[in-house]
Order: sequence, then structure tokens, then C-alpha cells
Amino acid sequence: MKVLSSRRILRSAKVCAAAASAVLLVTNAHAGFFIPKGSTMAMGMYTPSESTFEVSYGLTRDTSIAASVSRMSDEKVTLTRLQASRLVGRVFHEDGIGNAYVFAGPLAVSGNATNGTRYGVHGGVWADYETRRIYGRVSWHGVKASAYRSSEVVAQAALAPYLADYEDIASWGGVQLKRKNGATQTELTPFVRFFRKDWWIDAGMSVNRANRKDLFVNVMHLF
Amino acid sequence: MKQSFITALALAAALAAPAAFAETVKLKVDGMVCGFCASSIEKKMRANKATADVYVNLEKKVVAVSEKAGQKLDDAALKAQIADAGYEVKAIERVATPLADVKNEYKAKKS
Repeated sequence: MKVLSSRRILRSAKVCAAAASAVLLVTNAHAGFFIPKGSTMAMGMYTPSESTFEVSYGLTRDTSIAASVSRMSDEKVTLTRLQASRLVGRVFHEDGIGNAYVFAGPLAVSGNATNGTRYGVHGGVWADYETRRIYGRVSWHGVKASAYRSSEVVAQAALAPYLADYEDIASWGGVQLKRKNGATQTELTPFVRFFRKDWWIDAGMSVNRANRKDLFVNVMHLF
Repeated sequence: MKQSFITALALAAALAAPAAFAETVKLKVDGMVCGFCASSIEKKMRANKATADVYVNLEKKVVAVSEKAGQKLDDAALKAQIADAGYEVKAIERVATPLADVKNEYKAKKS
């Protein structure tokens, strides 16, 4: 009986760990929190091991809320996440804008392997700066689900090869560096980004051998 | 007599024309560098009942909004809508130029 309980706890811990990783992945695929008041943004993300759908809404100029559902095919679990984000600083330049946000919310993990629904919390900070030519951001995100804790730091830098105007398709190429707490290796993910008016597409793949499944495609639409 | 009537009619039409002429409002918006984020400005501007058309120029950081004939866009409301979209309006200019001409003017400057 004790052995069974230990196995269940171990299995549950693995699922929570997977869920926490998924939460971190989902947030990385997010374009940011720049959601205008009264606007709704929908995002769909696909990786070979996970698919996510997220809806965000701008409550005020400074505050947005989001709800997402992720299905992890390997672990056969579903992750439901709520999030509130708050703009804590914004700087305007004639040809640039910088933002700093804090975000947090609860999460729930359910599926056959979880033996019921498990709850947790996540949160973090995010800062970005962009012009029409360059984009950069750093973020920290932490997750606690049952006994599992994880956090990571992400840095992204991107460059536009040409200056796109509003009616053009904007193209970007960039790299993402991600370091999880306790990891010995920093994950490097080159990505491409295209957007035009209210449509946005990101796609990338980790170059680390252990993370070959970290191919992602991220599509967003602003309503 | 007939000629005087036609002249008077033409004069009346000419005097009445400016009152019905729709203006174009040009808003200079700092920080407007991303087309995806700026699309929300276009949506908000188009949602105004008095808006006829909208043009966004990221290079010059300008949002130009034309008024429907006989209707007026409120400057303060436009500023508030752009603030809600997350940006700051640095200047507002009203010009008696159709939006299509404003658009062509910016496109000519680009090329």
C-alpha cells in the first residue's frame, strides 16, 4: 500500500513538473501583455507535445486578464490557467516603447495520471523594449504546483531585416535564451516572427539536442 | 433674371460647402512601432460613428482619421481612445484635406 502511495506521489509529482514546464512554455510563446482596454486577443500554440488555446482581455489600459487551456499529449493531462497582469511601467520614445509587467494567477492540472485535480500558482515579471528595428525582452516566471517548484529566466532578442509599415507584412528573426533553475544548460531557440495588422505568427525550434521536440508555432489574433 | 438666379444658386452652394466639408484629424502617436499593437488603434478609431476612414503610418507615427460629412470627431475622445490602446498622443492637427490625399502625401514622402 505504501509502495502504491509512493508511486502515486511520484507520478503526481512528474505530472505537476510537466504541467509546470508547460505553463512556462505557454508564457514563452505569449507575445506579451500589450492588450488594449476593451480588446480581446486569442492565441493558439502548437508543439509536438502540447497544444494551447488562450484568450486575453484588456480590462483597463494597465490591467489584462487571461484564461488558457493546454493539453499535453505525452502526459495526457489538461492544464487550465488563469492570469492577471498589470503594467507597472511604460516609457515612450518617438521611435520606441518599453513596458514592464507583473503577472500571476492560479492553475489546475487534471487527467487520468493526476488522480483528481491538482492546483498551483504561477507568476512573474516581464520587461520589453521595441522599435521598428529591434526587439528585446527579459522575463522571470515561477510555478508552484503541489510540491513542485520551478522557475526560469528568458531573454529574447529580435531584429527586423526591413522597416515594415502598417500595411506591410512585418518580418523578424530572433533568438531566445532560456535557463531553468537547476539546469546545467541554457536552451537556445531561434525563431521567426511575422505580423500584419491584427494577425501574428511566431515559429521556432530549440537547437538543444534534448529539446528537439520544442518546435513551436504560435498564432495570435487581436479582435 | 435667369443668369442672376443661377449665380445666386452657385454662390449659395459655395457658401454651404465648407460647412459640410469633412476634416481629417492627424494624431502624432509616440511609441507606435508595432503594427499588431497599432491595429487596436485602427479598430478603436473605426468604432467612432463620426469616422469615415482611418490611415496608420508607423514611419511617421501618425494616425489620420477622416470625418463623415456633417459629423465631428472630438479631439479629447480621440486622445482618450488612443490612451486606452496604450499610447500617448503628442500632437493633434486638423487639416482640410481628404484622407486619400493625406495618405498619398505620406506615401510620396516615403518613396
